[in-house]
Amino acid sequence: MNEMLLLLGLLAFAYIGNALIAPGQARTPGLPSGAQFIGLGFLLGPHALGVVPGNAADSFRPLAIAATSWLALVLGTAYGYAGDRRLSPRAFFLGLGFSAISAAAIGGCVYATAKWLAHMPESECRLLALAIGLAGCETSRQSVRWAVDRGAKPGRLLRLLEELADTYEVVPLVGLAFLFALAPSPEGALDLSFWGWIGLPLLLGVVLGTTSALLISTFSHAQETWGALLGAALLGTGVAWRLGLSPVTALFVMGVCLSLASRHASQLRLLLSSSEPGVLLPMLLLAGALLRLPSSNGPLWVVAAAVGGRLITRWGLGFVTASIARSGPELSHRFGWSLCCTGTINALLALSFALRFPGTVGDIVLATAAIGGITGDLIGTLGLRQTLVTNEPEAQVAST
Amino acid sequence: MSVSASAHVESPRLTRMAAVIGLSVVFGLLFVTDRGAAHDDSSFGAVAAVGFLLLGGMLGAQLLEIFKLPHLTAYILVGVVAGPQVLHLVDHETVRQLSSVNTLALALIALAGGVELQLPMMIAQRRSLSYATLIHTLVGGVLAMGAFMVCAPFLPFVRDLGLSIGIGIAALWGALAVSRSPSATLAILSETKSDGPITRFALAFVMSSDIVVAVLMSLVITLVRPLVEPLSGFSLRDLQHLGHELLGSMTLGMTLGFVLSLYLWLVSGQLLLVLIAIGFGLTAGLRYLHFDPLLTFLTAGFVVSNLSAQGPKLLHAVEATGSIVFVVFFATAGAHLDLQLLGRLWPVALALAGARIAITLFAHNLGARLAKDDPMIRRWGWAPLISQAGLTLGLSAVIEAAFPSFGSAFRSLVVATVAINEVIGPIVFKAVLERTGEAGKAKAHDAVESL
Repeated sequence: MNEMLLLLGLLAFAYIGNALIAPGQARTPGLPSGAQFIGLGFLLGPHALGVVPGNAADSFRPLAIAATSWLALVLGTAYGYAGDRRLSPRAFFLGLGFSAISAAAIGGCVYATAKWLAHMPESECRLLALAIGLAGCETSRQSVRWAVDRGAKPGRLLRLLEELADTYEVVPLVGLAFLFALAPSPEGALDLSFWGWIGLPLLLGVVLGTTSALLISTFSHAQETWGALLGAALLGTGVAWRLGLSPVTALFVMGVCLSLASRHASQLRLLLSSSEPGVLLPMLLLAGALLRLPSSNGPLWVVAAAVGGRLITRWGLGFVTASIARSGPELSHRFGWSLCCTGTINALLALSFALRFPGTVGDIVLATAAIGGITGDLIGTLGLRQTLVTNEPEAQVAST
Repeated sequence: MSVSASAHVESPRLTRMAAVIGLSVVFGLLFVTDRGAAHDDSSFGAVAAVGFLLLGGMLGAQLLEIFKLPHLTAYILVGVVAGPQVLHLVDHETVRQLSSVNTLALALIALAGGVELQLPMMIAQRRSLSYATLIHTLVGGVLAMGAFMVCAPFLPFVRDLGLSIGIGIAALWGALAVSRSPSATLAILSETKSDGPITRFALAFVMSSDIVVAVLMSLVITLVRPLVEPLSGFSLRDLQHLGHELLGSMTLGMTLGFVLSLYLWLVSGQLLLVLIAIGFGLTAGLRYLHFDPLLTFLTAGFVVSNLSAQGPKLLHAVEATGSIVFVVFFATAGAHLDLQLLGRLWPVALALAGARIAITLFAHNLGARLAKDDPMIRRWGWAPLISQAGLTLGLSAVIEAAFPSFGSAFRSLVVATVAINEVIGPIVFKAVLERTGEAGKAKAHDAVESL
């Protein structure tokens, strides 16, 4: 009965997600990433109020994985596009560069803290650094929408922010395959090299993406299109997980291939993006229910370093972004904080990692994503409000 | 947005080639995974299996269109081939886990059945319907029960159980034998764009038989329990409970119907989530309260259709959700099939299916004579009554849950006969509509669409 109640709760949140965050709504309420729902999930979960018991939350692991994979598929089909506009090579270069720099800097902070302050084993330090670095390197699409919903006028800076948000995903989502390859599933029967573990989910994604594109072109009803997408996504998720591969990477690549191979990619992007809010909110709630806050000093240091490191790194990159957009020093200084906002990737990646690596390491990554998400959103929205929303800079409009 | 409408490849040859490639890829992926994954995390096996059955079923249906076979047959076939008895790509544990789809599928079937039950149509044919319902249910049910008793010595799961248990199981069979297929009937009428006496009789009778079968099944399960499970006695209190159950189910169904109408009128969005919540959540609640979900949903659909203007909206949403859920439902039924048992009892399955057709013909003839039906109905009205599909399979799942000792084997027999009826039924119905000239009349299309 507990599982049934949890299912109904998740459906209710999916409903709320579609009602509140769906495209076309006047204004997205709350934090851009919806990180407050992780907090709500935590409150209801087994480690706080216990409304959702531990066994019920555990039994929804496959659903959580399926949800993260579906979101990766949605991101994959939209990768490299701002709406229907294909982004320039410069945008790709900046997006990938910024996310790689963020991941490296945040990962470095985490590694150093985990090794020298928390005295964790080397293998755990590496996993933590990579996972938290990848989860934290996000330039949130939701923050762009949050700003637009609140009246941010189009300008060079907003446009650059949008481009960054639509081009960075390769680093965290393909990086997740790298993370899975670092510690391949010991029970797996596949005997692969390190690069084999990275290459296989990419290959799986390519096969599923091209096959789906072919099948969709032969179907004559919208339901069949949904059926093909859902079927391929679930098949890919199940297959990847059972082989010890990263389903999120496989589905992201599937989305990219689908977008490249299908003649009707723009309609598919629209179709898939409509499902995002309804999947995102239940996923955030599940992530919260699975969240266990660190109780000892070592992990707490790691979380603090990750959150602090991310804020500083993202502020620096935000400053550079504003400078590239030819904003003045004062505006650049204030805009820097805007890049601290988080979005889908932060929670998605942390949850995938926590489900694949349960235990202390997974708990730390999930806790960092939750705390970092809420902190980043609070600070980031202040930055957005001061620069793009309230004090829409004349310089920005003028430079359009 | 019409992604697929615009993307549709016109050439059937290309479509089939794509289907063959797609089927090879999905079978290949699951095969490699099955051999490559040493540890078996069954919950993720179930995730992969849902995806596989969905894709495989849809592609299989495209391929079998060459032979003009119904889609349902393809779904069952894909389940059989991938299931634990043949390729073992979907194992027993996964099939068990996927059985929860039955709950949702049955709720959708019942809701759609209720919506399709149009009061004006039934009133217009009340005489025909009354006689047909009475004769098919009583005479047809008893004769089907007799046919099962004749075949019982050849059924391994019945022959050693004793006479009283045999009679109990035969009664369950008799109740199942009078169930029809609303989905197959509507599909054929929509495809042939028919109108005429047979079309109108088919719509009215097949849809109204849903409610009769739902009530009958509850009654039979209550009555035969003491026969099948000798430790559980029978008293009049059981009938009182049944009365409460039926009345309570219908009352709740009416309430649900009004709430749904109100929702469809005021909000109407996100029907997929609402249907899933109703299908899983409400069914669990109804079972907990010992009400009959099938009857509740049928009543709800009936209320929405006849007491509000929201019927078409609900039907559209149920069909959209069902088009995906039913693929998995039927494919799981195929995977559930006990082929070893079927290998032993296929002649019996064939005999029972043949007997059901003969009984349907006889019962229809008798009912039509008594009701003084139109000669056309008297001669050909039996044709839409042969098909069996989702409702029958869903009821067999209910029987399996109610009587675990023989339920699984019983369900295999049901799946086998449904597969036969589902192949023969639509072909015969379509042929009759063409022969009588009812096919191709535009008004009938409107009538079906208006449902």
